[in-house]
Amino acid sequence: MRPLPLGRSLVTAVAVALVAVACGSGATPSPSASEAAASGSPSAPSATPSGPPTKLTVGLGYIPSVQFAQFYLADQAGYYKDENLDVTFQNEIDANLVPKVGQGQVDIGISDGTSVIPAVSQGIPLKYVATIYGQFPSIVFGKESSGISSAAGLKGKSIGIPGRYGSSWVMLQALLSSAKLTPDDVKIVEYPDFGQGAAVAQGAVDAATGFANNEPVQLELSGTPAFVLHIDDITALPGPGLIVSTATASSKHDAVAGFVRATLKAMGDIVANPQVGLDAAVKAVPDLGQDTATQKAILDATIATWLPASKSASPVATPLGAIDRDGWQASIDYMTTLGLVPTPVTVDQLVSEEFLPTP
Amino acid sequence: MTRTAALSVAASFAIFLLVWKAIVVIGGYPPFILPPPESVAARFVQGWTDGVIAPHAWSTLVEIALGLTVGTLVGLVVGYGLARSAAVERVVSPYIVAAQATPILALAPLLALWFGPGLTSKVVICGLIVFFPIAVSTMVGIRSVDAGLLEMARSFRATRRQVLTTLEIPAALPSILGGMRVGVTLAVVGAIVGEWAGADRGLGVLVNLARGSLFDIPLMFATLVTIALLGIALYLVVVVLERRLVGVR
Amino acid sequence: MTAAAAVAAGGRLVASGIDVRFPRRGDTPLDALQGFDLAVDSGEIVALIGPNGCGKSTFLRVASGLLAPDAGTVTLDGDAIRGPDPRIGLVFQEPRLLPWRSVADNVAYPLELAGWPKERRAARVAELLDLVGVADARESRPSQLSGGQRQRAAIARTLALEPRVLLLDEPFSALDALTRERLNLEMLALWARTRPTIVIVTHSIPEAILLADRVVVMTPRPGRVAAIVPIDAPRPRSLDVLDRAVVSDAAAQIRAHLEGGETLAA
Repeated sequence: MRPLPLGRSLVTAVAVALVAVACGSGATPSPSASEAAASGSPSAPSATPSGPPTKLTVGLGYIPSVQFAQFYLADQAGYYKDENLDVTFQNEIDANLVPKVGQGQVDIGISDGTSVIPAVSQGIPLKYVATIYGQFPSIVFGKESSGISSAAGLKGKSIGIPGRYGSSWVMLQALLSSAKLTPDDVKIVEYPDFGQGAAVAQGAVDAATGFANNEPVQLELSGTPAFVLHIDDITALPGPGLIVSTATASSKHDAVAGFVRATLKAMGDIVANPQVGLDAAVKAVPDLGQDTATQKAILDATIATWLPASKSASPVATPLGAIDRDGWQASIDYMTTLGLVPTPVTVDQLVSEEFLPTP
Repeated sequence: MTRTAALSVAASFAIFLLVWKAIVVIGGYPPFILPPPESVAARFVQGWTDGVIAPHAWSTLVEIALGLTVGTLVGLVVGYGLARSAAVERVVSPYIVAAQATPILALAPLLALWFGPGLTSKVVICGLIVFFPIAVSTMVGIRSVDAGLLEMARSFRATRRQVLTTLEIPAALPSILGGMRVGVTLAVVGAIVGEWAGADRGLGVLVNLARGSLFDIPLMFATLVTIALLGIALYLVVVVLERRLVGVR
Repeated sequence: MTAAAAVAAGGRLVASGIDVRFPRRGDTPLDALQGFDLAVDSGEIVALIGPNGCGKSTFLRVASGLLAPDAGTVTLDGDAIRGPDPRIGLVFQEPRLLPWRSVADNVAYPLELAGWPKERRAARVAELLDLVGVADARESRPSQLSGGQRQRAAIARTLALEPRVLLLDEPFSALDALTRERLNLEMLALWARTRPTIVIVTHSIPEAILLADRVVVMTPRPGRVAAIVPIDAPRPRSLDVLDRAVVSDAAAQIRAHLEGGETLAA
């Protein structure tokens, strides 16, 4: 047998590599190793920036929904335009949103602590720059008639979940461990198609994980009182907020600050007057107009989850967007016990307040 | 394998690794997008030694083994029926072809709904994906039995069963084993797809976990490598089987 | 060894009024044989010769029980033949050996089908391989043998159950002339051991004359007996038989009857 034409093979390999690179890159320059957050002061509100508008790609991570009212409002009211921004939203389910943000393919995304902590630990260079949900929106719910009113009441019951991954799984484990239970003490039923809400309504399971502004709201609207178990009373898990890559944080610093400012402004408008949020959402997603009553209920529940639990009585006490460092530290500690933090991380690595508007 | 053959396999693998590394370096891809081969190799070794991958691999292997068994047995029987009866072929073929044409990715969630999230649905999905190539290759193989040989056997008063065991099966074996080569690799796909439709363990589950929950991309790649190795191993088993059962003709 | 092979063989094969019709789609049925009669005495060798399509192979299939005639009967020593029978052996034109089996296992095939125990099979196979002269190739696959060896193996296989009647359908037509001659002589030697009844279909007049006691010439389709030419040469026959005058007479007669119908291919 003839010996391999090594020279030819190497040339082919290099050629293949170059072709692959030509097709593949278009991505950002390689991110630097440093993740040191510039510990500068929070950005001051600036006068309308000059120059051409900065383009931003924002991944919302889910399909169009009234829960994104603040983005729709900020867009329609011109808040982004005022900040000299040209924002493109990716309003779809995206399982790869976090790596895309880390790589810079998407400038700004939405994610929570249960994703950011392991991601940064695995070397994805992210920064959490503004809180959207002051309370952790992933909850456990069920019919009030099941008699469950606390985590301890879940023992031996059947619980529907989408799968053993993601924020709901971490939340569930935290909730169970607060009552000294483990997943083995309950009957986990998986619904990979996210049908666990329907399963509760049909009585197929006693309880399920879900979102504070979704399944329990639907259940109540259908006339069945529901119970809701929040993790915030037990462990402060940081809720979803805006994330950027460390590279974007420096290269598009002012634009990110402007985006945060505009979005928080819209959130404030909606907290003060939920109707403007509803109107903006219906305008952006006409299909939502078919059942405004349901959408209003979802929006109200969403607003309630934006506000930190202990402060929900007085919404102005903690500004929207504020980052709860203690909560982040508690989350790092808890998730480390779950083995999800292979390389230790500090809160400084994960969050940055520099993009929040000065109060 | 001869020494030259082994060398060329090793050399092509080395080139594959070099190209991979070149792509990573030249393209500047961060490790959470495309990890370099050495990092995947390290994570692979680590994943096995610290016991992360093994239970998932075992679970998928069980699904594949059962799915292969079920799919092959049903495929053999149906293939034989299709070969020997025009009526069976007329009646059954449309359904078989329709089932094959429907993407398994679309059928899997439905099957998971009917058969539950446990092992059964994975075995059904896997068996379904394996069934078609086996049935078709069996049908082709049985039909390829020389009519002259069948007449010769008849002249020696071979019973139906003797014709099957001494004539049809040995004659059809090359074709059937060819179908099995395709079948085993599809079985791996079927098991993974079945897991994606709902499972709490398995290599498919681990891929998703590594990617979406742990953000451990090297682990995700190491799991993909494991899946590929599983497919290769099963394929080699069939090749060896073929060598022993078919032999010189 | 010879004791087993020397069982009294032979039997009187009588075919009377054989009609065979093959239905054809969209056409009238094809008459392969019409009123075909043939009586072969025990231990006799009869050659069947005729133009292409005259039904000689069809007749062998009927006689061996593989094909049921539309009319008429075939009997062996008075017993009606209604299906394949171990007393009647059929050798096909192609060897029809199983390609995945060794020669020995191929020869053992009928014994296996008949349920013979392993040791008895092995002994008989060894006998047969020696008899036809392929003992050296016993572990080879058919693909590794020459055409002549393959046909020898096929004959050995047909002899396995000691049939009293041997039907051979142009068994040597695929071989070269020299091998053919040699196998003809070997055939005669085999016949001499136990004197089975033999009906051999052939296209070769020299072969027919060398082997047969009588040569039956068939008409073109639908086949029936056109003429029977006796071959008055003494046995044991050898190749120089073909030089005798009596034989060239016979050859001339055969040729004449053949040319009376369709001409035989060269």
